[in-house]
Amino acid sequence: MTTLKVFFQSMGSILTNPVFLFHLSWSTLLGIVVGILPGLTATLGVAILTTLTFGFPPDIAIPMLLCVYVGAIYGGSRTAIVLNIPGTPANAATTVDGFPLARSGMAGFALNVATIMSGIGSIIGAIFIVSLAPALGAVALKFGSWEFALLAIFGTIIAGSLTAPKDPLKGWIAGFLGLMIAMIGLDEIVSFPRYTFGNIQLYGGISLLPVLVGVYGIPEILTSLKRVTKAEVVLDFSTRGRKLSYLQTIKKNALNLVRSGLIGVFIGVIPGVGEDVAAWVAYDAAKRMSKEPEKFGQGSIEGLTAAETANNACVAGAIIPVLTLAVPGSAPAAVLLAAMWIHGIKAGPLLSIEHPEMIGYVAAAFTIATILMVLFGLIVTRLFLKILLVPTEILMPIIFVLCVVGTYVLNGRLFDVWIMLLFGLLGYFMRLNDFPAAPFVLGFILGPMADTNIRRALMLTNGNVSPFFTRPISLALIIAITLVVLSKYLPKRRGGRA
Amino acid sequence: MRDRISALLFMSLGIFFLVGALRMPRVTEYGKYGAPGIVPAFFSIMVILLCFIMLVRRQKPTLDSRSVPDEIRRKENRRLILASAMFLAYVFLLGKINFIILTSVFLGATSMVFLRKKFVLIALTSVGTTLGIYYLFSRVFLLPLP
Repeated sequence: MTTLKVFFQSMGSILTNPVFLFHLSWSTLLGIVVGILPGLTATLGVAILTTLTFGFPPDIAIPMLLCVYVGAIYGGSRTAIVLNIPGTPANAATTVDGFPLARSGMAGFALNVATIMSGIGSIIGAIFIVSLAPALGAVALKFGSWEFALLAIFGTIIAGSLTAPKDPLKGWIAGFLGLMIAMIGLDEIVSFPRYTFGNIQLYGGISLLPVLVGVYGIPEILTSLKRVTKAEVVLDFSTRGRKLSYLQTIKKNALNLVRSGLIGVFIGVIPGVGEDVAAWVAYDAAKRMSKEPEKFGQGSIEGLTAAETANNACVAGAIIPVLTLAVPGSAPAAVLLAAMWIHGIKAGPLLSIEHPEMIGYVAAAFTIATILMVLFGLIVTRLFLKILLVPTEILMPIIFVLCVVGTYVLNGRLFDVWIMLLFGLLGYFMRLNDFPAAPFVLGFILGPMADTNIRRALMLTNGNVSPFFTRPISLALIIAITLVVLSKYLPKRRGGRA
Repeated sequence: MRDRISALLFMSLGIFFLVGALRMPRVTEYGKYGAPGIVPAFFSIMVILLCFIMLVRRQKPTLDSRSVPDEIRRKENRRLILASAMFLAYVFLLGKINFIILTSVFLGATSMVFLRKKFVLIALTSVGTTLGIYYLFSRVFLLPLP
């Protein structure tokens, strides 16, 4: 059965099941609220819902997690526009033009444009899940240990380069730290306990969820609580001052929409990079191509369109390598990958053989999440923005309790909560010193894959490393790694763009 | 300076992992290439190497910390230490005190310490939220709470 046929069948089965629709609706709303609240990221939203969906069957749990993911990335735009603080890091580029629009009395228009453009971005992404994922899955079947080993290292290095563009060395250090810490626990080939120091709790390794919640959640909570100054909030949602209708705005930005959507999807496919980078790259491209670049930063609809289209298209892009290679394209996609494992769905090259319907089903769920996001975005999110009036001092301790409870229920042991706090401390230290969290988390996820495949490759050839250079995909990955590293340190062309 | 401290800290971690890797068995039933220490040794060497580069390169000045006035920074540090202490105390007492009582007191105390107003609202929110979390996790989703 083709992916497209599964896509339409799944759309029909989900849309006609009221129980599914109920769960997907509240998950989308939860995602939007998570996105609206500064300090709560999409990663944390997906992580918390993962713990809540333990008891659900995978065919409902996975779409629910997708809804939270899509909702949160979109929800962050609300805060970016009315508060000038990105609700999630993915919406940082949205603040640049969103807030000036709100201050000039066009908050309502900006909110609606962001909703529509996010929806279009997601639909562009869904098209690529249906079309690109099966093709990438077919290529992934040709991967051997050599390719998987190099893919893990390539992913970590490129995530380090793109998330720390000013100082990629810090990104690479963070990535290799993640790979190194992932070595804790029994190794997968000879079951030797590594760095466990006789502690039986460490034999199974460190779980992903405490690391993710710690590295992303705790630094946000601490930063929000320590902040003394308060932000300005614009809660006047009038649509006065708009010069074009929504349809005219879409028509005028058609090229920008397609370009930003494509940028979003392709940056999403790159391991570990994520929505924030996609939004900035699309914003930069829109500014370069614009006939009115001087309006960027002053309340440009083009800028808002580029940022919001790209970050939502990136969500779909980030899911594609999860499904086909078991390599997450972003941090929330990493939790999604972990959740799929928890629910017994082994994502990766064999997914198309073991669960041939999964890609089409995920694309359908993603499309429904988009529809719900647009509906709720246009109808009810303004009401939810009132949540921003709740003081941070009340909200953040509640979020902390949710982080603790969410981590505890994973295995029912307090050890995981302490691990979360430890990684929270590390995450805070890294943030304070400008080390990006994304390559660290990606390294932590890809560590076991790198370990098993490097050793397996060496065992197969009795220590001969030549297949790394003679196999075409492997060689391409080595060249890509070399280029990524060299491009950061080669002297810039004189007179060229910085 | 901050970069140098980070580099030294992470380099120490790398050395710790490298020593651990070197003490692992060198030969296994799958031969010497199946040895569990090969990959951890490679990753820790990479961490040490990258940290060494960061340590010896020309240091860039960090601008962000200088832009915050001293008084605000002191205030922020006080709030940070207070929040960390309260979080640690909460996790330490988990499992030792009833979840509903501990969480209500923690939420109420943390919010009151940081907000210093709206005491009645905070008390009501703390108890309400705790009961909500308890009901959601243990009754609706049937998940164990500490």
